[in-house]
Amino acid sequence: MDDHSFHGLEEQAENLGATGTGLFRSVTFPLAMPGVQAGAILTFILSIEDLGTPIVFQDHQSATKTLAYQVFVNVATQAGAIDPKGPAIGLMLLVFALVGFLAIRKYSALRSYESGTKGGQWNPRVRRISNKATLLLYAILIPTLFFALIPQISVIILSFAGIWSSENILPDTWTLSNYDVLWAYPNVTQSIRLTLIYGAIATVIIVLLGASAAYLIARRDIPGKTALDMLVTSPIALPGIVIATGYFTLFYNTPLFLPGHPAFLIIMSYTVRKFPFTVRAAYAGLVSTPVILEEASQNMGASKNKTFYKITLPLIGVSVLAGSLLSYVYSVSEVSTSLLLGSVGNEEAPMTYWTYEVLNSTGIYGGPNNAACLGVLMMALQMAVITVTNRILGTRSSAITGI
Amino acid sequence: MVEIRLENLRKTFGEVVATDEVNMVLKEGELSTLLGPSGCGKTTLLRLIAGFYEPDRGTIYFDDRDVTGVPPHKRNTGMCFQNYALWPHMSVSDNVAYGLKLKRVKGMKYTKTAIERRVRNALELVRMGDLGGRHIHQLSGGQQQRVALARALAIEPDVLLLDEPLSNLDAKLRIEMREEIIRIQKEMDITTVYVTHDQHEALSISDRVAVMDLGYVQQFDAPREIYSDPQTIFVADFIGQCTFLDGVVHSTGESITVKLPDGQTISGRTTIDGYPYQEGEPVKCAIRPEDLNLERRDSSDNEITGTVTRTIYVGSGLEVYFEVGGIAAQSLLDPELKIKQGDTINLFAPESEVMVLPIGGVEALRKVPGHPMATSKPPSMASNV
Repeated sequence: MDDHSFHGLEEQAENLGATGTGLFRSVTFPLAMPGVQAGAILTFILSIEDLGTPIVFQDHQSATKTLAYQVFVNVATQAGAIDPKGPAIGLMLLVFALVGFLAIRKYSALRSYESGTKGGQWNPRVRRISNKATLLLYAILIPTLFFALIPQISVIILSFAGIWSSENILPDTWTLSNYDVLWAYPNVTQSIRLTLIYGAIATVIIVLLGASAAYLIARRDIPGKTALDMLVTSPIALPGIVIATGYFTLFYNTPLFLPGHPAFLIIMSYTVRKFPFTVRAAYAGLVSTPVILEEASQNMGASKNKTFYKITLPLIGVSVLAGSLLSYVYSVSEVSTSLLLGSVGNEEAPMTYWTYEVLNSTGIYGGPNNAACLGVLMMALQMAVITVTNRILGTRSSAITGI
Repeated sequence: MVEIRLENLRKTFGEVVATDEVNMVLKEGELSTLLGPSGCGKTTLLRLIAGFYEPDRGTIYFDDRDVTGVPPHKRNTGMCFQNYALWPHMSVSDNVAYGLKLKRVKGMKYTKTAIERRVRNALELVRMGDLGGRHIHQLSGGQQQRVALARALAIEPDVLLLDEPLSNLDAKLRIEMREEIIRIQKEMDITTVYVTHDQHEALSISDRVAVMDLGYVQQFDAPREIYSDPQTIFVADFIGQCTFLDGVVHSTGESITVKLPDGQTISGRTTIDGYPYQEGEPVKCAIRPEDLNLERRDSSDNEITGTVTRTIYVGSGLEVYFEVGGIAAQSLLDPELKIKQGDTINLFAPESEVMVLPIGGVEALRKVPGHPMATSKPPSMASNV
C-alpha cells in the first residue's frame, strides 16, 4: 500500500476520534502488517542463507555450525567430487526458506490492502513532535544507528590502518598503501573488472526478461499467469548457496560448466537471484500507469508494439532503470554463489570471492587490511548506486527495493 | 464522413452479457448518444466501435467497410477517454501531434510544418492555441478535456468517440464544454458517438439518443420521440418523470382502455406502432406530471382521484405527490395553488397523454412486426422487465 492512500485512512480514523498510540495500534500498524511480515520472513531467509559472515569467522567453531557453512565446505572442498552431504544440507535450507516464503505469501495475499484512494494527497503526512520527545528519540536512535554502522566504520578504519597495536582503539599510523592491492595484485584487479562485467551482463538479461515478464503479468491475460507471477518472485526465497549447489550437481563437467570456468554460471546465478528486483520495479511502474494511456495511443493509430515503445516504456522507464540499478548492485555484491562457483576457477572468480581469498592469504597483499580495501570499494559502489536510485525514484524507491 | 452500422452485436465477459442484439445505424455527421445507468453496456458498445473489444457475434460497418476484426489503430476513430488519458511525459503539442506523426496519407508522412500547422489548428479549435508548450500537469481539468478533444480531432478521424467526456468537470464548466462539443461537432460535421449517464446532457446535445439498459438498446430515436413516445417502461421511467398505473387491457381500438385494479378505467394511446395489444394483457399507464390538469378540457379526459401526500414548491411550479389506490403518483401544477397534505384531489389526463406500455421491456417489442427485435432471435432469452 502506498503512502498516499495510507494518509486518507489515518485521517478517517482520526476523524472518528482515534489518536496517538491508539491510532497507530488500530489502523496504522495493522495496515503496515503485511509489509512488516514480509520484511521479517525475508530477513529470516537472508540470515539462514548468509555465507559471508560464517566464512569470515570460520576459525570460531560456532560459525562453522551453520547450514550455509556446512553446504559450502562439503561442496567446495574438492571440486568435482561433491560430498553428498552438501546438497542434502542445501535441501534442508531450501525447505526452511520455501516454507517461510509460501506461508508469508499466502498470509499477505489474504491481507493485501489494496485501496481505491485517489488524487490530491501528494503531501506526505508528517506530524511535529515535542522537543522533549525529539531529544529522547535521538538519544535512542543515534546509539542504535552507531551500533548498526560499527562494521562499516571498522572496515573503513581498517583499510587505512598502518601499524595498529592491540591496546589502542584507533591505529597508531595511517596509510594509503593498503589500497595497492586493488591494482598491484593482478588477480584482484582482474576480479574487479570481471565483477563489473558479470553484473552488467546479468543486468541486461534481467532487464529484457524482467520487463517482458512484468508486462505479461500486468497487461496480458495469459494462461498460467499466477504461476508465472510466482516463478518470477520466488528467487527471493531461494538461498544462493542452494542455487550454486544445484548448478554444481547438475552442470559440473558439462559444456555449461567446464572445470575451471565458472563464468557463465556465475552470470546465470546473478540473473536468477537478482531478477525479482527489476520485475517488481517494472510491475509497479505498469500498475501505476493507466491502461487507457496505451489505449489512447492505439486509438491514435499506433500498433501495440509502437505503443509499447512510445508510451509504455517511457512511462515505466524510470522504474525499470531504478530496478535494474538495484539488480546490478546486488549482483556485484553477491556472496554465496560467487564463493561457491568461484572456488573451482579463481581466475574467473568475482570480487567477493577475492575479498575472501585476500583475507585468508598471507602474501604481501594478504590479510584483513587489504581485504578491508575491497570492502570499502564495494561499499562505495553500493552507496553510489543506491543514492542514484533514490534520486531517480524519490519516495517510490522503498516500494521497489522491497527488502 | 462515415455511417456506422451495427448489426446484431453481442459482447459477453465470462458469464456476464455486457451488450446484446444491438442493431443501429448511426448516420453520417450525426451526434448519437448512448445513454443509460452504469452497467447498461454503453461503454462496452463504444469500445466495440473503437475496436478495443471484439464482439462475440455481429458485425460493425464503417460505411460499407466491415471493420469487425480490424485492430483499433487501423480504424481511424478519435476517442476522448473519461479521464482524458493524456500522456504525462509529453507536452500539449506533442500529445496532439502524436497521431499525426504516425499517420500516412497515400503512403506519405506528414511534413514537420504540416504537422505543426494541424496541431495549431486543432488547439485553436478547442481554444487552447496559446498553451501548446505546457505540460499536462500544468493544466486544469477543463483544459485537459480540451486537449483530449484536440488530440482526437487532429487526426481527422472518420468517427469521434466520446466516453463521458464531461463527467469530471464541475457544473458550470460542463455546460460550457457541452456547447463547445456541439459547436465543434457541427463545424467539422463528423459522425459522433457520445456516452453519458446524464439524461439532461443526452437530450440537449444529441441528434438521436440510444437509451440502454441491461445490455439492450431499448430505444434509438430523436430526443423528442424518446420523451413523448417511449418504447419501454424503462425509457419512460429513465427519461423525465412518470406516474405508472398498473392495469389490464380492457378494449383496443382508436384508443386503448385499461382497467385498473379498483375497477376504474383509463384510456390512452400506444407509443409503439403496430404492437398487438391483447384483451386482458397486463400493462402500465404512464403519465407525465405536466400532463395532469386540474380541470377537464375534453369530454374524453381521464379523471384520476387521489389523496395528496406532499407538495413541493419549485418556483416555476408546484410538485404535488398523491396516492391513487395505493400507487404513488405525481403532477406538476400551478405554483399559486393552495393544496396541502391530506386533500383529496381530482386531476384530468387527456387520452393523448396517457401512454399505455406493455410490460416485458424489449421482449415485448419482439411482437411488433418488422421491428429489429422481432427479426433477431437471441441464442439465449434475456430476462428484461
